[in-house]
Amino acid sequence: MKWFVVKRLLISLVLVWVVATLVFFSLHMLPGDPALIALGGSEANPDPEALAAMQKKLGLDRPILKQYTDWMGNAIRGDLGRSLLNDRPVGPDLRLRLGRTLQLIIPATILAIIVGIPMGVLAATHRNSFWDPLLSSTALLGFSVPVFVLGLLFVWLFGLRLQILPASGYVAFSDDPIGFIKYLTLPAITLSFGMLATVMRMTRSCVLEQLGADYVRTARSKGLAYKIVLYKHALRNALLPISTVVALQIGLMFGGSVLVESVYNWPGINSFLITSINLRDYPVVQGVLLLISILFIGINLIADVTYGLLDPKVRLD
Amino acid sequence: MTDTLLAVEDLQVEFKTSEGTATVVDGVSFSVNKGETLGIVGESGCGKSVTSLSIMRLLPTPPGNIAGGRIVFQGQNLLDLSEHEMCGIRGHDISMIFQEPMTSLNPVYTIGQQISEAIRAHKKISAREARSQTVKMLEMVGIPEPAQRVSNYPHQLSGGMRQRAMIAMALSLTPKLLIADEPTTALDVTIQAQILELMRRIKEEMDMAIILITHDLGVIAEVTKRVMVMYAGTVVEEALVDDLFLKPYHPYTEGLLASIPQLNSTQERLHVIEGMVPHALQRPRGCRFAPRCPYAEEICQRTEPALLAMGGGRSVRCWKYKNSPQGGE
Ligand SMILES: Nc1ncnc2c1ncn2[C@@H]1O[C@H](COP(=O)(O)OP(=O)(O)OP(=O)(O)O)[C@@H](O)[C@H]1O
Ligand SMILES: [Mg+2]
Repeated sequence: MKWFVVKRLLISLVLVWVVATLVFFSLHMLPGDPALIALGGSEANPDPEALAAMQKKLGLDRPILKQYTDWMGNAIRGDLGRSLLNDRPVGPDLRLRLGRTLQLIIPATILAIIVGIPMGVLAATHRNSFWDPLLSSTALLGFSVPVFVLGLLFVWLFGLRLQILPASGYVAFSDDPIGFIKYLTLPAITLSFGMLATVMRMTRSCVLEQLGADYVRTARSKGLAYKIVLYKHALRNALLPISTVVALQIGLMFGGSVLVESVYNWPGINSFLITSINLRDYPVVQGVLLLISILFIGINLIADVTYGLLDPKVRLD
Repeated sequence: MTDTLLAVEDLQVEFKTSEGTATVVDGVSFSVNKGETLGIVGESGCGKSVTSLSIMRLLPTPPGNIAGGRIVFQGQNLLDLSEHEMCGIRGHDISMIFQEPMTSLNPVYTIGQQISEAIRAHKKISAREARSQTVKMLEMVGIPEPAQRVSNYPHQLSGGMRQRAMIAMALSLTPKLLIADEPTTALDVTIQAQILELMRRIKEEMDMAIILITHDLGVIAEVTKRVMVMYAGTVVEEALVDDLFLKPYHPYTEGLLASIPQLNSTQERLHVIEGMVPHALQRPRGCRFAPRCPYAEEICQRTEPALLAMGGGRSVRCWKYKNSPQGGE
């Protein structure tokens, strides 16, 4: 297990480096010159000397490879540079924005797990009652409705018609805890829907499969109550594939959060990224993408390790 | 009749399939006395496992369903008990071991955890006490270094060791009846012999009734005294093992005996019973074995024979014996 973790960790580091490099070069291949944009764009038609001076000031006159090694060197030391736009250091802003996005993703994930798994178990154990078709068709709905449709529906229904929750916006938890939760509720539920549906369906099918396994029959032949057999034996084994799905879904949630942040005006990392791309603010975009890829790869690492901890065959290897 | 432990009476088990309802166990009756061993043999699909799972009340329901009969254990009809009452009997009074030692243990718990769990389901004792009893059980079934093995996961044990662990689990509460459903089928020959030796020892040491299920008459001869032959969901012959080997009555039993390999015989090819077991949905109108029977006569095609008592504890379901109820021809 130790070697398993070390190996995965090394692979993850290499992956992060590859992604960061790809991001750097593909970004610089995008048309659009940040110096030009800073001077008001091509319509403003700034004179070539001012443009050259701006490029020099922003460090864009260096050869691209030099820019790459400088950036990489600083990034390794934890310095992501300064915004081309307002000269603010990228690091603190990134931390702030990421924090807000995580405030959305973490509750959504927890919601999806603590609701999705029991619903899946219920559907699996009530295959012959109305529960299973009811839950399964709800899940199908969760799959097929796009996040922004669901978001707009929620905004209209709860925010505008019923007016029980704010339609959009954000307050920091430290400023107003109750307000924070009010603002969080709709976006978190919206974001959790897809994952909840997936976790539910996965739990249902995995638990059903495990309930037919030979070891379940053995457990019952020992005289264990059905509930214990269900949770301690069948669900425990089903958690292995479920944990993999959860990890994949957290990755997808970052994608979903782009839409959710924009529907609910949530000032997270995605809105930060989109503004910066439009302004060709290279250091910010690079910083955001580097961070997201580290998160992504980190989540997969955690998922692998969790799987290993759950499965004795891997754990004891 | 006071020492009858288990009496299965006219058991009917149906399975609902997409093509219709199949009666896979059709009027099976037998009994087992305290401390007695009974063998059940028959080809694949004849209903051996379904019969034993019915006794445990562990049939997958649906599609399975016990449509009729009684299963009387210590004077109590198990079919009348609630699921909760059944949990008190499973593992405590009746235990079962299964064919597949590979998949019959939960891969995410150690064998120690799984055996202790069985003990603690029925006895209020501490985890530590359960563990020490588990080690004792592992030692009894011949697992070397039981104190270490107790914390092994199933995948760390060989098939034979796993089956020993299964047996330890089944015996951990000294049940009155042990049902072993093809305990050696999935193991290779040398391990098979060791497991059978273990079963024989258990039979001697613990005063326990055993139902040994197999499709191999050779295995039966090693362990049990009495044997019941099943064919297509019914009992076709019942006898003491020695009598059966000396002179099988039913043509199907004859075929089974002829198909056991004989080490000292010069016979070149093994005998095989021609044809296939009829599907539960397309049973012949008369005797179920008639289509494959070398002695089949006209009446066999028309009417199913009844199980006929032949004296000396033997019975047979065949028209050959219609006019000679005292046995022989
Ligand atoms: N879950 C099920 N669904 C439908 N039919 C079943 C099911 N389980 C068993 N059967 C049917 O019941 C019949 C008897 O099966 P059973 O498992 O008792 O056979 P067996 O004598 O134990 O055979 P084997 O030697 O292969 O273990 C078979 O014809 C099988 O098709
Ligand atoms: Mg079977």
